[in-house]
Amino acid sequence: MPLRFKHVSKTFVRPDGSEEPVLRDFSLDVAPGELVAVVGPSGIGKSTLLHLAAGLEQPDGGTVEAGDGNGGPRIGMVFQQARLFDWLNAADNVAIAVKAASADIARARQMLSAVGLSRQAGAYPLSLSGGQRQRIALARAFAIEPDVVLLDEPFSALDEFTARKLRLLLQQLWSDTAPSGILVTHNTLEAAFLADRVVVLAGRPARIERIIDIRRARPRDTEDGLFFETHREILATLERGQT
Amino acid sequence: MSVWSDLQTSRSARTRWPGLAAAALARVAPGALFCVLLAAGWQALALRWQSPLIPDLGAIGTELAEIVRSGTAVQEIAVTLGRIALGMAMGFVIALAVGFASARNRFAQSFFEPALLLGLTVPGLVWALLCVIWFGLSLKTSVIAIALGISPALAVSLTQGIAAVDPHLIEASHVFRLSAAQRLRYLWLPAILPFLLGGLRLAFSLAWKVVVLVEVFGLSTGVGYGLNSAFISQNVGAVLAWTLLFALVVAAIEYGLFQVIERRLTRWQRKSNV
Repeated sequence: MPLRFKHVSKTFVRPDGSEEPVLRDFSLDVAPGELVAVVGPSGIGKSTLLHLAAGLEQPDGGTVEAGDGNGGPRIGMVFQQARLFDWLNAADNVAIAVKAASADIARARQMLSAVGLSRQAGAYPLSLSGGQRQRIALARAFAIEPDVVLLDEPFSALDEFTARKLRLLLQQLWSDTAPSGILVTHNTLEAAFLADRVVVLAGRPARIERIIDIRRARPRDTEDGLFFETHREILATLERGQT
Repeated sequence: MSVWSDLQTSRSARTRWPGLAAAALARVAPGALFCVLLAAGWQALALRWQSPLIPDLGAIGTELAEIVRSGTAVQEIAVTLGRIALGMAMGFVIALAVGFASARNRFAQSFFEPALLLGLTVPGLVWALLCVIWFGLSLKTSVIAIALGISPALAVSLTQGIAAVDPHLIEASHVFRLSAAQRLRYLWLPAILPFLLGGLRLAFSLAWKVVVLVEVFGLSTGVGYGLNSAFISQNVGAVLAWTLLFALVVAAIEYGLFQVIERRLTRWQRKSNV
């Protein structure tokens, strides 16, 4: 199921009343099964793109379309912090999203097992590590059989060792369920490793400085030289965009 | 020995403390010590002054036994608790509506602000007097007086609880399309529960003070009536016996109801080790 931004504009009003245009005439197509990484300097509007796609904000102009027009798409989202209900155990945190999406309830247990947390199904989030909580968040996003998955710096709050494991897990989940998705990240190597395309944003309001195609099938090898090369390319583009 | 190993030793010593019974004793002991010291202090005063205004523990115990034996205690306490329950239910509904509206809507917040301030500053005595005058000697009087007395404090607790709900969780529940009923059950109620329980405790203590006043002024049943009868006959022992009796009921409700519910509903919270 595709995700389309068509000529989208979004302006925020600062507390002093002045306006800050974040997006103007912004267009981007995400193909079915494709993961597009969006990178760019802080405050450029990356998270705004995700909020627009998730329906948390409405565009001032243009349209954001998710799906093929037949009913609302199922959207899974993974945030920087896990954003779990601390008073529900791991299984219930996943199950509540599955129920709300009217998806198959058996998926809750399956996904918990897929992220390696079957033994922690009855555990409350506050008794788990940050990595385990983020695994629950991943299970929740993928358990609803999502059409679209939005990832807002999902691994930036984790230590690198845990983040590496979760990137591999995300890659596996993406291969299994093939939703359309956007990954917002500051980690250019992560963007190169996980995405099918990397969109580099620059300027204010944000424009697409460059789109880099990553031509690698999944599963991918973390040591593949292409990712390091792409990572350098993205950094160079970001530097160019800032000058 | 380093500070770190000192800490380790004291922590492990604490976790080795034997058994549940010992833990329960450790929890109850300080409160029990206070009660014993209070009783001993009172007894010393009574023995020192030898006045009917300060009856000794034996005299209070005799009055207590008499009130309990005659069946009056159970009967009057049940009546008072019934009035408190109805008044709290009514106050809770009002507080829930005002609290939710104030927390979610800026106009409603400004609109209800003077009412809440006024409600918080009006003493329970005033509500009791006004309701006796307006509604006469009926159940309605005590229920409305309690509802008016407790709803401002309860509404403030609810407003604070609702305002403290993590906006990130509200966003997550929106993205995952939780229905209104699911949001209420899985997001709002659990998130405001600590505030709600705090508010209900406060409301219960306020309700008790209001209902006793209403019963003293205008009703012929309830703990307040019992207290008033004791007051008219200048029987300080009976006044204290009634007070003690109701304190025991309040303690039973606190430990047997509020704390049990609280422990059950907040078991997800991580307890600090220090």
